[in-house]
Amino acid sequence: MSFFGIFYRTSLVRRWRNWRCLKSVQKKFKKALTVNLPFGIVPSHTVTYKQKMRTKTLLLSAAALAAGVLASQAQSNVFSANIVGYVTVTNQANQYVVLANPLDNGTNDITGLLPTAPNGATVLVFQGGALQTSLKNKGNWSQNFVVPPGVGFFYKSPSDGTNTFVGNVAGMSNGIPAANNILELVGSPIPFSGTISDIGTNTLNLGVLPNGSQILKFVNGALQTSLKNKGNWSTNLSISPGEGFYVKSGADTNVIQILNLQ
Amino acid sequence: MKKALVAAILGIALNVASSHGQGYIAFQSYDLVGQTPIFSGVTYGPGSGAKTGQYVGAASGFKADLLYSLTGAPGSFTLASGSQTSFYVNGGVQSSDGGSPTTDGAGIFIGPTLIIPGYTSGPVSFITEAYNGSSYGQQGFYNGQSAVYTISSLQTNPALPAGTTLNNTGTTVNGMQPFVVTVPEPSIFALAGLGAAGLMAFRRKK
Repeated sequence: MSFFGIFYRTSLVRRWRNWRCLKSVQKKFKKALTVNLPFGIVPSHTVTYKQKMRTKTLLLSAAALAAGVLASQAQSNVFSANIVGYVTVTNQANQYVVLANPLDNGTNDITGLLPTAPNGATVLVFQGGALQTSLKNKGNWSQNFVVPPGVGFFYKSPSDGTNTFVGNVAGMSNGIPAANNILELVGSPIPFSGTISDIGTNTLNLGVLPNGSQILKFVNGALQTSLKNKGNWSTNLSISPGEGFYVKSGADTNVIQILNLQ
Repeated sequence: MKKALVAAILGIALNVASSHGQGYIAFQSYDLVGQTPIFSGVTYGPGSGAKTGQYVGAASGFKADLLYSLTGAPGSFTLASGSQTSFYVNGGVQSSDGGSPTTDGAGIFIGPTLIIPGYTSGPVSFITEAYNGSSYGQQGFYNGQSAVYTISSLQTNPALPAGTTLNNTGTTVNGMQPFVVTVPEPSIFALAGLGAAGLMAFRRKK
């Protein structure tokens, strides 16, 4: 990486470090996204989704990136980058939505991922070919499932709600391992949005799935299926950050996603 | 030859259908409808001394499992694989005898979603068992069974949420109902032994 590139990022980061409040970050960031930012992922994360699930995604800060770059540059050419962000999703009362953990918060258990879930909330994770239940009761989940970035789950709450996933972007490159003919409940491990036909850097990259693959999205209490045939999906479903979906691949495929901040 | 071929194809088709058919049910005796708890609790039955009428706790080793039958006929019930589940533990704290479903979770359990093999459609009958031995029926331990309850249809799509064994409509529980566990008293064993000995003697005389 050139010195100019590092300086450019660092100066941006310094400005971001002064933003403390999430709402103010959102407002400022919306404006900031209209200018030439170095993070290609950011614009898609500021889209507001008002259908089944509204999502806003912002990359909050890269203070660790700045410190890491400056400190490590003096010693060697190796440095690490932590990109902290959040993704907000909403749910309607007593209706299942399918979510996916888009960020790594360290533990990735549902106690940490869903801190504001009320008693009576239900999480279903897809394990052993069936959806297993955890019920929140007396402030605790009956099963404290671990849901790493890229894994989907059903969520239902007795009240309308908003949940904010907070954590690090899980790598500059990550994958959705899709085994041949195995149904899996997944999500984008890097908080990308887009459609399932997208291919390439800074996209969901689900377009790389082979013919015979299926993607199933939970819409209004039912599964909407898209089948890939002759290189095209029967329905070009859209996926939001923090949204989960089923995938059944036509062949063993690792859907590699790449985040490019240039 | 043609008949044999058709029969063979039909046989294969039936075999495939039966091997692929399966239903799903969430094995739980407690749920919240909104913020309202609904449950079917398990309590100590008559002859349990001071514990009679109390809800059973996980701390006393209580577990539950599920029997199912696609026909409902007596003797046709089968243990659902993987159904054994401990009674309620809240945040690492086991429920205790004398607690309640709405305080520490005594008397209730939230188990796994179970696969009912061979199910394609229609009603299924269930029996819930509770015990504090290693398995149901172990002598010297508490055991109890619910009444048979029937659920009119099961979820067959593994990708969609399954119904529960409470089979509730709103806050009305239509599925599993409350039941008790008891320990057979020693006198019952003694009487049974005497009866068996008498029977043997009678048969020998004959």
